[in-house]
Amino acid sequence: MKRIVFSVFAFIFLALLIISNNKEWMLRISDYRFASHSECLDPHKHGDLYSMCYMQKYKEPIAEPAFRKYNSARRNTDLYIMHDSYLQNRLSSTNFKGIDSLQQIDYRGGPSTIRLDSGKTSVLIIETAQRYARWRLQNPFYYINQLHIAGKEKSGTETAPPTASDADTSSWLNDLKGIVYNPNINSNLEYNLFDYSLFSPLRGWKSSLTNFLFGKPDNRLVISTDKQYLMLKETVDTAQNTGIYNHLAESELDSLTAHMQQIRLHFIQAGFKEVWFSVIPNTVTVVDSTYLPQHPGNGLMYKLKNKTGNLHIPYIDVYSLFIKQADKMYKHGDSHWSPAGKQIWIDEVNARIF
Amino acid sequence: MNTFTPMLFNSLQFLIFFGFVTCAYFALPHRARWLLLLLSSCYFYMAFVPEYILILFFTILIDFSAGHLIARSSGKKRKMWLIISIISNVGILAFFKYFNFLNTSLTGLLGLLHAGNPIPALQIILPIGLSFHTFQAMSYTIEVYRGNQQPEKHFGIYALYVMFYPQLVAGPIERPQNLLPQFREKHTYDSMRIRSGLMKMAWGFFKKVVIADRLAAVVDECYGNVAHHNGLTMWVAVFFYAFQIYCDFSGYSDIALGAARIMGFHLMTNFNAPYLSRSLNEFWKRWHISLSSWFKDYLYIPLGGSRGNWLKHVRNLLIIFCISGLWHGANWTFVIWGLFHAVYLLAEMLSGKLFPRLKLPSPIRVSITFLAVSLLWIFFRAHTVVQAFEVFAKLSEISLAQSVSLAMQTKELIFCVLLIAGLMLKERFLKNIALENRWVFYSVFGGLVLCCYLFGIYDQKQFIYFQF
Repeated sequence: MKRIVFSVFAFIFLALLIISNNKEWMLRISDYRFASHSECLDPHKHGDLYSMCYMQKYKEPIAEPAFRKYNSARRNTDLYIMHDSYLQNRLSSTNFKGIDSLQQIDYRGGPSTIRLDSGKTSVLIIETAQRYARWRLQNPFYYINQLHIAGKEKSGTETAPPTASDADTSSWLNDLKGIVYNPNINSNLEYNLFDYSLFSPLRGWKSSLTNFLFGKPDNRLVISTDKQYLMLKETVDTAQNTGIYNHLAESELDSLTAHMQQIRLHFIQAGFKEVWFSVIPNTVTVVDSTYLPQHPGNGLMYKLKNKTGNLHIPYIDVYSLFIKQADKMYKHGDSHWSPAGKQIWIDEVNARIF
Repeated sequence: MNTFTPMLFNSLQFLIFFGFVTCAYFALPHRARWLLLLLSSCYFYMAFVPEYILILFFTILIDFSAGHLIARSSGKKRKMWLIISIISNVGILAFFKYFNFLNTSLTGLLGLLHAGNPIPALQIILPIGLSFHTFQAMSYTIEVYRGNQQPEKHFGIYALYVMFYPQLVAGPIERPQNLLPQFREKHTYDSMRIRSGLMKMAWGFFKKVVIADRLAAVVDECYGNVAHHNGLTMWVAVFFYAFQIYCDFSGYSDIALGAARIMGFHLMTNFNAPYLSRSLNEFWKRWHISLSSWFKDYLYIPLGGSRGNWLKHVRNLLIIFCISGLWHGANWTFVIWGLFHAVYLLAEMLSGKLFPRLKLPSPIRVSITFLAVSLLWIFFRAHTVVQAFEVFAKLSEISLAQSVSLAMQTKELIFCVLLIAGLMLKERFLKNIALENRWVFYSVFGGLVLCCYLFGIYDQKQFIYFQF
């Protein structure tokens, strides 16, 4: 009898492991759950920070934002945006004045290759969140290696291009590994076992208790001084360069801007007419810059704006615009900007580039 | 080379994996269990860099063959097979762990002579748990050589001895006499043993996710920006690190011991309340016992131990602790950490000889030992020797006017101190819990699980000793 009970449990555990390892099955489960209970496999559905703590106060409604559209005459221009999660949701070419096409390249997913239309003007915008700007720009090849231009020499790249045989071998091996060892297995298991509306209050209570005891709902989160925003702890961490209180030496700033210049020249040589940079401020920078009153901020945002201005590096600054309407620029339970904040960025791109 | 996250004990993946292996273990007939354990250990190991399983099997094959060749040979040949086995084990360890360290040191040395180093650094990822399973494998061939262990006839069982998943990546470093026979024993379902294993695991999880990972926030903040913090805050970080590393590593060991115990395996105890030691000598009998006894049995005693003249004894201690430091990591910080331990031990011995009648009260001796161990951990935690000395300089700047300045709120800081006090009280006064009483078990176990849920930190922080 015991043996049968153990066999049943072993089967259940094994099935859980296999299902949670399999990408296709997870997508099917997610689709099914979304269709029947609107429970999709998307941690951003009500705010990525909300999904770390489930505190009702910070739950964002699901809404599809609509951005301003333009029907202005086309100016034979293609716009390319290298972006991170801030621009993860697709924009349309009509959101920008007079461009023929828009191509968004999420550089977090690995290198991409594009082909530029030599008959058109190509403009590139490289966007990054403030919290990762220092890390991403400390090596110019971070961006250079993420975007290859078909038909152009890969000059200045740090790594050799992969050979055809490399690609063949690594792809089947990686596919095999991906089947047996899914890097998202822990989040998939959590989704399959606990991510049900039934458990959300329990998680919310836990966060409220932790917040009551320790002043933070989760180890990865902090709450703004006015209690209105969840913020990532790494953005106020004094020890990490993701934090706004982490010391920024003048030499580091010089190095960051020098790398920006190097990246810009690389992509101009590769065929772009213009290369712009844009650093999106952390929530804390705009809404709660004195979160740690005893620590002076490192001033990365305005220092970057001034330094790039002095060096004539094209730079789209939204920091100075955001602080004028600080309370509308960010979501309350998400690490990203609100539709209003995003619209300001789009407007600024239109105003500066087109 | 594609790397993945290792399967951490403090992850859902491990809990489900563990549930499957344990249930399948009891569901299968005895003759098939070794195969289940071996295959699941392979899966566990391959979660990090799958290709490295080939290297592991290569060493397993060499040591398995060496064991048989040693048993069959006599005289010089016997020694030769042992040396071949040791060289292949140490060679792989040296290549993966020490090549870049030695190369960087050579670059520094040549730099002083205004010369360049033509040898490039290698882009290699250290196989997980390499130092642990290499030492465990070496103990097998040494014990066969010494005649204390018959060579294992079953290749699968020997492979399992090296790869048994609960202790594969961070020990305890087992001896063949203890572990190998257990794979042949038939383990039946025993509720008392399962309770005991579950309690051990729950306590290990508590130490890891509630204590160690909470203390890590303070330690990481201070060591991440030494210049930014005052002396008092740095002292807090130094003491917190002492408990972080203890809870992290002993937490891992408890989970390993508990997981193995549930299936009927008894692994050796790795920690015995080390911070209650009254001397450094005693500390090393209570801290990472499986490694300390390994060094004692296979290096210290063969070198002569404390026999012979005093100079020989000093030499032996310096060698052991230097190697122990290097075993932990390929960095000068670890070497210095080991050397200072040796120096302190020698000073302890010397003071014992000079002042044989001097007997300080136990609490004072415990405090002095804890202070010394905590200060020496600075070398262990610091990224560089320079940073370690920066920390020492900071500690010397302490003054009464200072206050603890951290991102962590005071309430949480007090909670951390209470956790540490609770841990020490438990270690001092509550060694065993009466598991015979079902209600006591359910209450304590349930309480620990609830605390892990409510106060645990789940940001997938690796165990510190995984890097070794």
